[in-house]
Amino acid sequence: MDERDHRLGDDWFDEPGDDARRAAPPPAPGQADMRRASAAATGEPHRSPASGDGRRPPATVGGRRLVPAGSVLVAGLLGLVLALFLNAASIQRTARAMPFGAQRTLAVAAMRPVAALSHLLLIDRPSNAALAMLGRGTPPEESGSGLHDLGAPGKVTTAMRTPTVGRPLRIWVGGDSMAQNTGAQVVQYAEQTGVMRATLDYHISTGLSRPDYFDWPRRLAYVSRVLRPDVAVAFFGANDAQAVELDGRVLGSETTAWDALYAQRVGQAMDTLRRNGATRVYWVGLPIMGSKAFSRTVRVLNTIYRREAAGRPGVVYVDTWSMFATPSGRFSAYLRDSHGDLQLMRQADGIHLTLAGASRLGWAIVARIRRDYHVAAGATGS
Amino acid sequence: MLFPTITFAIFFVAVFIASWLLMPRSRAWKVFIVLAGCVFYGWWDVRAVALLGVVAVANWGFARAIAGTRGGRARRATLVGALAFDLGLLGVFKYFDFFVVSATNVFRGVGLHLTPPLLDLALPVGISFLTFRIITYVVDVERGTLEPASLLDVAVYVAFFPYLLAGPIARASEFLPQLREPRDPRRIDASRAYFLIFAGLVKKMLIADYVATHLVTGVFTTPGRYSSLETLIAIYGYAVQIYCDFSAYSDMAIGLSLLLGFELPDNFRAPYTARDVRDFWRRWHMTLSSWIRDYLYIPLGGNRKGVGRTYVNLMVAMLLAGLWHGAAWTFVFWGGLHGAGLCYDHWRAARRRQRGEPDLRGGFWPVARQRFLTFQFVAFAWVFFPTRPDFASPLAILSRLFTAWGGVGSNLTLAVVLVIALGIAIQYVPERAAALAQVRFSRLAPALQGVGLALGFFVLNVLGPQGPAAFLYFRF
Repeated sequence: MDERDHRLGDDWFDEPGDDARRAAPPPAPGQADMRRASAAATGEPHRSPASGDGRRPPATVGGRRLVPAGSVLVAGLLGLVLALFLNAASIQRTARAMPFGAQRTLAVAAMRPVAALSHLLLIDRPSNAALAMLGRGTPPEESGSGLHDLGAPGKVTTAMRTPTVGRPLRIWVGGDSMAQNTGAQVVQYAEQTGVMRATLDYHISTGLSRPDYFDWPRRLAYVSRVLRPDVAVAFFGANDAQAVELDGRVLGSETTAWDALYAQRVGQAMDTLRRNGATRVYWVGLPIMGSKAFSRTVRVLNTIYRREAAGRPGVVYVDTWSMFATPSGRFSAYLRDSHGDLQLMRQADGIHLTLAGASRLGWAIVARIRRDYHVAAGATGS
Repeated sequence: MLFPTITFAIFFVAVFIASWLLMPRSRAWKVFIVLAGCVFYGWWDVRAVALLGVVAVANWGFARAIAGTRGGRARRATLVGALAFDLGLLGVFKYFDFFVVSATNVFRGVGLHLTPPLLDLALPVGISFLTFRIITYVVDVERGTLEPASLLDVAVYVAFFPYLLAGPIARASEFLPQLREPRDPRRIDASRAYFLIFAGLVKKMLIADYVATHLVTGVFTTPGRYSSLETLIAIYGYAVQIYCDFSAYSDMAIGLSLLLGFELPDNFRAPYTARDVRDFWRRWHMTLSSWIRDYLYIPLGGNRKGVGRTYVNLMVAMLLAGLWHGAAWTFVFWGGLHGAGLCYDHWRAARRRQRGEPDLRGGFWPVARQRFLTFQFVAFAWVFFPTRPDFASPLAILSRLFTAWGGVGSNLTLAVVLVIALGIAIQYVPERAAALAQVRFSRLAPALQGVGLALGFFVLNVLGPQGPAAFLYFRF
């Protein structure tokens, strides 16, 4: 049997003459087209709808009218432009949320007249109304210092109580995408103690650099004032090494002015979380990263976190750098777990933690909380 | 560059215009489309573009060497060299650390403590798809079913951006013939393209991301916090998520290619309506399953070497298909489950045929039962797919099914259940209905089509997530 017979007669799902094959659904239009393309490879004539082989191709395929590129361009551009006006407000928000740079400048400049015209002609009304109805119509916030006047401070205390089943320790875990897996593990391990109740509050692609994209200062004020956790665990920084805008000036992320502003924001976030009764804030530093350049940036951020935490009673800096480095201090996606086995701890991006990595960090954080609050050990992590 | 972003929309409009303007000048068009692929692929990491170049040049050279070699043995030897190169590249990036770590852990178990060198290389997005695509080129040239192509054509085949990141695995024999003549700018199957692109966007943005965010991710990362019912629904939810995520990418890739005048093979056909595991693999990731059949299972001997060997070949093919998805034993186990399912279906069908009965019973209730049971098998097998690369997490999820009954759980909302049900129900929409809608849409004036597209984008913007999430299959 030669190779072609082979292919025709030997279907790895079916025996030849299989009833299931006979019962198989008819090929979709595209399948038939593909068969023609396949046939061409073996020397048979091939004429697909868009083939420009000189002979006049069919005007329809499967009843669908084939159209010239110009019509596609008209329909496509009309669709995109109309959609641009219909969704002008939210696209403008997206443009403003882009990292500072030429692309953002261009996008914001392009969207300004579109959004104005859309608003003037009331074209943006349906989108805004629908988004508002779904609770997603937050008005765009102009970027400022990212520092809010929080009013009179509440109670700041470092007096720690031993939690009980009747009066469990309330833990809030929040941050950017780094908090997603780690936070979930903190919540799981905390709740396994039976005397801790934890909530996870992460927002992907956010950080303290861009309150115009996601207003963490306001969110943290809400957490402190309304949720009033006993313990806060904060894990920020993966998206923070980007330029910020202050009073109309763009500050690059590798400048002393940026460092000072970012330190102010970190400090205020710590103060905010502490101001209404939280006895401990655990500020989780960033681990070593796969990229050497990003690792250098992370060192700068960690220095800021460590320094700001050191000056505030009740704020604990959790060092993760060494936890996710090899014994020789280098990055490796695989690290030894508590049993000595090598485990994949980092995701393919070299930034985020896998579940195994998050389990290690989550367990370490909860162990620290248990020690500080005198809670007996529970389940084990990797 | 992600498909559902404004950046990609701008990129594609520019490419669309330039592509059709350059189409009459074949050489200029090919150079342009290769450059467009490099921009698209290099958007993440510009260094990854070098990989495309290396793969294109090397396989162009291998194919020419094969075609210029007389004698079956020499051709075979050159093909082995090509396969060693392509699979070696994939192995270095994707499997080296995994196998070294696995061996180290085994040695540690017997008291031998090693500290192996690891490469810690960043995995180029879509490298598994790229490898399987290019293998079809050199193998088909060796088989004599395909003529060797010019370097520029091979480069276009390697760097054609719609399928670059996550398939479909368009074979060289399906794609290269389309480069022989310029595409006809007067005959674009735009209506089908629009429907595929919108079907993809809806599946990805309104179903997959919603189900992931509102239930599945939580249950699959911390099953201990969820009730048994929530866990059960999340398992079905993940089945819906992975289908709506992966098929969405394929749909969009096929639709975008159509707008550029190229046809790519279909990749999914209502897989959760399958009546047994064999049927599932005729409907799920069809370009992978047919690749496995033609480039692995049949060369292994297929079903021509006896019943026992057929089962062995099925298992080997599916174990390797599992490993193709990811460097972890959980993926291999998942492949093994499907291999076992295929073996069982073959055995059962053979027995029924011996009794003179069809492979599967017909009739409404038998078919409904077959579909229900096949979906259960597939959905529960997926549990081994997404989680950490050990067996603790999937087992924790499965054990949660038995340990937390008594309450519904606060995360199970009506909306989540309805969206999961929708993700299954859309597979029962008759193909004829979708085809009819495409025919009707194709007969509208371009301006009306534009209004329709705008309304589609409006709905996606209002109901979709605020930021795009990466597609699950990118990591493969």
